[in-house]
Amino acid sequence: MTPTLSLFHASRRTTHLRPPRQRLTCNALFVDVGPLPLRDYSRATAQDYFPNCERIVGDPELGDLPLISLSQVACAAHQTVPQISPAPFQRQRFRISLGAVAESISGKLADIVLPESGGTQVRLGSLWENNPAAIVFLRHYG
Amino acid sequence: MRDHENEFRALGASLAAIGLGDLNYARLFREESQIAFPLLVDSGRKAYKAAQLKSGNVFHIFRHDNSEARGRAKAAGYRQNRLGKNPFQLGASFVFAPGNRDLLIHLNRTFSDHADPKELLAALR
Repeated sequence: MTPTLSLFHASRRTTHLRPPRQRLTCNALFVDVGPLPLRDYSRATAQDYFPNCERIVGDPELGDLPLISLSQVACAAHQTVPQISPAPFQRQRFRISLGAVAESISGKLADIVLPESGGTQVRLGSLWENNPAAIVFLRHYG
Repeated sequence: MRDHENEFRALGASLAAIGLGDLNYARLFREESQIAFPLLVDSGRKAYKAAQLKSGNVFHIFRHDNSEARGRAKAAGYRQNRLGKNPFQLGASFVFAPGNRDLLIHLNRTFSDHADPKELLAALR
């Protein structure tokens, strides 16, 4: 079962954690906490924000969740952060993060069916259904 | 990747490659490279689009890192058979896990940029 985490955004300019406007299912929690400790941003507990989360351990206030910076999210969304002007940066970054993690890449690929070189049709999701898989996209064959 | 296939298997992971072109080129590629893992053909770029993989441009050809990579490949005896319909398409490497979890995402930034197999293996450990 995929862990269900809710996404929220904490930027270095905000003073409080902001829960998302919508609940999302994603595989990681994306937080950019800036230079301050995460707990300085919130008086809420992690359970207030992540009622459906399977596992919250560690920090009593916010938990030991997988933290990935929003710049990585932007990379995952194929956005170039430096191209975003400073003024709308926070809003833009927030929008990117929501869009980027709404569905994992593997989730987007799972139902695509492609022929194998021998002619067999393969549903991509079947490659990592029961065990992990390394998938390499080549530019071309040969 | 072919050289590290046993290491992936030892960690309980499988390998697969997705390429553009057609089945004939995929078969030829399999014969030449003697790759045992699945080679999938995405002639319609469905998977490339779904994963939002980027494309390079003509200026990438003149980049220093790409020139060096071409030199290394040539010296090693590799040759490019055909450019195909989408010569600027960039590749990527992923490690996915059951439950549609993305363990590693490496989106190639230019033609010579590839994920180090050691990074992919580390994502599985």
